[in-house]
Amino acid sequence: MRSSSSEEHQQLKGLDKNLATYSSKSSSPSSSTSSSNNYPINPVLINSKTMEEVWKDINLSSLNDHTCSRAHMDPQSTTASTINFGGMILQDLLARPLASDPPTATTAYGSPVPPPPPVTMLTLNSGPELHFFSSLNPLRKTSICLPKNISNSSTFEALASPAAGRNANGKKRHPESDNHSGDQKNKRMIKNRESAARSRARKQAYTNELEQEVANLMEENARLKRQQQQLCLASAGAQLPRKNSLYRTSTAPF
Amino acid sequence: MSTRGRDSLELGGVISDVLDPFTRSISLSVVYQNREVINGTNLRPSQITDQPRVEIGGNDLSTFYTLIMTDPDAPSPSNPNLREYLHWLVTDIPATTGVTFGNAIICYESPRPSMGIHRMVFSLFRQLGRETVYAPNWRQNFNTRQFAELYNLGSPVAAVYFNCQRENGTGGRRTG
Repeated sequence: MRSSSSEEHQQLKGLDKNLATYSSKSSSPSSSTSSSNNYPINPVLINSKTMEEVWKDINLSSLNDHTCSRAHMDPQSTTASTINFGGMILQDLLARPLASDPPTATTAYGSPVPPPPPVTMLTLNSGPELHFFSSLNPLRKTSICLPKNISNSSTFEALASPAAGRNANGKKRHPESDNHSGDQKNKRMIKNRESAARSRARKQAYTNELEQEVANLMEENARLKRQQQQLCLASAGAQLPRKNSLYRTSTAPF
Repeated sequence: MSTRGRDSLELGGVISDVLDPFTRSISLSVVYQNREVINGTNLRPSQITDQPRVEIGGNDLSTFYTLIMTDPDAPSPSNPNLREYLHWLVTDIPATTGVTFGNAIICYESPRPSMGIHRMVFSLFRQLGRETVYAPNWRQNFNTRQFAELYNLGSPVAAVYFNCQRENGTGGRRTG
């Protein structure tokens, strides 16, 4: 267990630097970090399978829990990039389900993950890992994103278009023809929305105006400074002759 | 005088509710108690009890301008059935001068909104000639667009607006 974990540890270190070092696992157990076997994608694909399994396991168990809560916190980031996994970084995902993973999954990722070193290398924000995941297996990318999208799309749409959604649903929930309070609620809601829209428009307009004022003032400031400099130079030039212009106008006759 | 980026008058809804899109060509400065009004400024009724100092640009003293001040959100922005309420109408203002050189045919009425947050819009128009603009019969339900068309004022040459609500709070919600 320990020896395999150290191998995995090496694997993960290699992931960050050089894809070729994966060959160390497949070829010989002895450490050869500087092996110059520049294998192409092949050794990586062998290990990607296990990683894919790990991802599926992790996603099914933990991703849905997280994405729902994360979507409420920051809905826009979930749709921003599919690699972003709902705003979580890898260490969050891997930190959770480690105890209950099946053995095949854990051999690839399980044991070395809780201690900090491999996790820092595997944070999704770093470039090489992103490219690695995306270039390797597009099918896997979509499979990971699907459950996230399904769970997020409903919440995101609910957040993004509350007006359309609720109006349609509001009428269904409160049949207003015989329910007076439902109608009132509806009207109240509409009025509130309009008020909110006016408030937003007010804010936008004022902010826009202030920005323009600032720009104008900065321009004027720059112009005045330039003007002042020029005046300074001009006056400096005019002063010198005056300083030296103290001449004797008449001499005493004796 | 050109607007950069988005237009605050549009964002504030003034362009659709009161005026049509136009190009600024004359400077307009409205000052209440040494506070220059820029679009979206917030002023309380206590700050606007007296008429502001208004100065306009241009360069030809023989060109005359009309200043209109209305409230498109009367009596309440959610129910503006008195849109627009005319607060001030000054005609025959010579270019490069101020409102004191003009003729206030509708005198300044201090705004005192009771419900909601109202926009107060100043718009400036160029007259075709002197003494060509006449006062309406009442202040409520004034229509700046139609008025401008009626007296051949054309498109506005300048406009500015500010927000005003009652001294304490916004007047709450109207029930029913």
